[in-house]
Amino acid sequence: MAPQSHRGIAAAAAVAAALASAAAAQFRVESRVVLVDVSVTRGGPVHGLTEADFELLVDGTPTPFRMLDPESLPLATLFAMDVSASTAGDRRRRLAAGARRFSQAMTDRDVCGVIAFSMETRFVRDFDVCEAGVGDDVLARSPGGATAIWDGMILALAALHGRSERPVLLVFTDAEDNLSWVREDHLRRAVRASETLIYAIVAPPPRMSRSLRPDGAGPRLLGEIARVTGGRVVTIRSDAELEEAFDEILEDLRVRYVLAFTPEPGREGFVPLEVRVDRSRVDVRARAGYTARP
Amino acid sequence: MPRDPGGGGWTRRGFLRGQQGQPLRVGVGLVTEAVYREWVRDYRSGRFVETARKVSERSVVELREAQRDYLDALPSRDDPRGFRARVAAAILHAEALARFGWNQSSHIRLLEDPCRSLPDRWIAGLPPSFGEDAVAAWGDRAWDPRRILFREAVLAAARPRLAVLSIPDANRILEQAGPDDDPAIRWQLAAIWAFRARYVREDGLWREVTDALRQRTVRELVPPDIGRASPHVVARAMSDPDDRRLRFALASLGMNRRASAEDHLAGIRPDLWDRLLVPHRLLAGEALMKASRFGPAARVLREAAEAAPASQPAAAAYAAALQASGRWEEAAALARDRLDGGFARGIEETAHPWLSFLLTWADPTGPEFEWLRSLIAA
Repeated sequence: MAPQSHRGIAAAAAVAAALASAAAAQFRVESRVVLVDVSVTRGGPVHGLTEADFELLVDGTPTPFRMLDPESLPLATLFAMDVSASTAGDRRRRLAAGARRFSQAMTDRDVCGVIAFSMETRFVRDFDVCEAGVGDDVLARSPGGATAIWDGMILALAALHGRSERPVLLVFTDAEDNLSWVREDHLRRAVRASETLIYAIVAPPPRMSRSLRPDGAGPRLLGEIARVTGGRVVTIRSDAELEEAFDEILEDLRVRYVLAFTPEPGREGFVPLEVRVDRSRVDVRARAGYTARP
Repeated sequence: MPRDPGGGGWTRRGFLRGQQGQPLRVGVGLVTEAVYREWVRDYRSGRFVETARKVSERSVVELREAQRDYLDALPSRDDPRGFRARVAAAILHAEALARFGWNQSSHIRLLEDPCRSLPDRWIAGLPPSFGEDAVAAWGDRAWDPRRILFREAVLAAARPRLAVLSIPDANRILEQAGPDDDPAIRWQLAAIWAFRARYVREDGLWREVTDALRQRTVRELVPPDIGRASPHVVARAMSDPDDRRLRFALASLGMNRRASAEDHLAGIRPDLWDRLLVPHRLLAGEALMKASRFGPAARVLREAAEAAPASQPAAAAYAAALQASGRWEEAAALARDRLDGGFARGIEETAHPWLSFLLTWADPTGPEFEWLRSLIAA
């Protein structure tokens, strides 16, 4: 059996499942593939790019790939909601409204789940069809307590593993972790080995804290790990921007391009990826690499 | 969700900045010696929360004045009634701090002054068990009730704040109590510094933690055999060489000194106390993760996760090790099991052995209070 990324197996399953159900499948998918979500922007999203506009470099080497129709890949979106004390009041209401709108924009083949994290992380809603009730589920936990965001994300990444849909983790938090066992390097390692696309909405903490010495380390780490997956962080300055932030991420998911390639056998460890687009002055965002295992 | 028994709630504000207590009442009468005496009487009769709330609503200045008059009017300190009445005043304020948090500087003087007014030895007329209990907890040096009761009152005030994660409150109480004069208070403070260094990213505190632990080692406050038998969590932890080695290992890992951490971990006895099992496995797992030995880390952390099935840190640690080992299917099964585990109803020590170790966890009104209350009620 050819060496490959074991996460690639999950990706392959996702692709296989998607294509089996999508009449618009553009090509026969190889049994093992790695998916690369690509966002191309120039002010706003750039539409209408074709396979010929892209170049994929795997560990610096141009590599053949196929472009998939993102619509053919159902999404499994896990909303990971920080329900520590920082999400009390109007913020929660807006959070629920944003999640509701996001969920309603999903297709009937997509699934949504909700986990709430503060000191503990728990499913508020297991994966099921996306619908308006997702917003209500976000409200299901009373806010309060400290935040173990990195612990929660480790468990969320694990919970998304093996799903047949394309896994998306959408985190809402102030990114001020103050109770996680998991260290930054643990999280980085897990994210690099995961196939999950991470988006985050980062809200300002309710107030500056003397004891926390808010040095922006949390938001920086969240930004870094989201970028590694090809996702990103939307930072809001006030709660009034919360629903708009959900819309922004939704737009990002809708307009993305998905490249699929067969990994070369014999590799092991993190393999860097680069995506180039034959357009001037565009910003290209894609996962930084994949983890291959013998 | 756990709530502050004082009604302040376990809030982000409370966690990060400390509960600021209830707003001070204005437009109410001054606290006179008679009012103060009545509060002490109410407290001794069992109205703990109600009386502590009243105290917490008043300014330290007026409380100190009333307390001074109250202490002056008491029977001799060598009389059991006078002795207990002095102790009761200290405990009343400890209870107010424990339940309602730190809201003013100098609050500690309200605990300290009554204790200073005590004699330097346990007097005749008190049940002898109190002195014996103190020795059982702290060793022979506990014969001076002024020192031991002040220490107990301070720890009793600070540790319930930890139980609701009001870290800055606990920190303030202990710092204001003069930790340099009391190894147990300094040790408890070091435990909080370790938490702050690890979780609140105050890395400069690791050196302080190490120094404080070394001081404890030199002073030998609590003889190991006595401490092991003690019901007092701090005394028990201080007397336990394995506990100390784990804390050194924690500090070493915080300072990225893996080899040093491994040395400390290697010195731990195989017949480890149950309460140290999960902290040991988590620290051992972390050291192995730092060495990129993910397979052995997963084995060790599995033990932590199995020993504390409700512990999120243990689950997250194990999941991280499985992921790093490439065993994502197992990590997924673990995560789904834990995430489906239902809502946490509150913080229970058994569910949080790691946090309990880090903070020397306490119930909101833990064993120290029971002991102190029984002293003044007797």
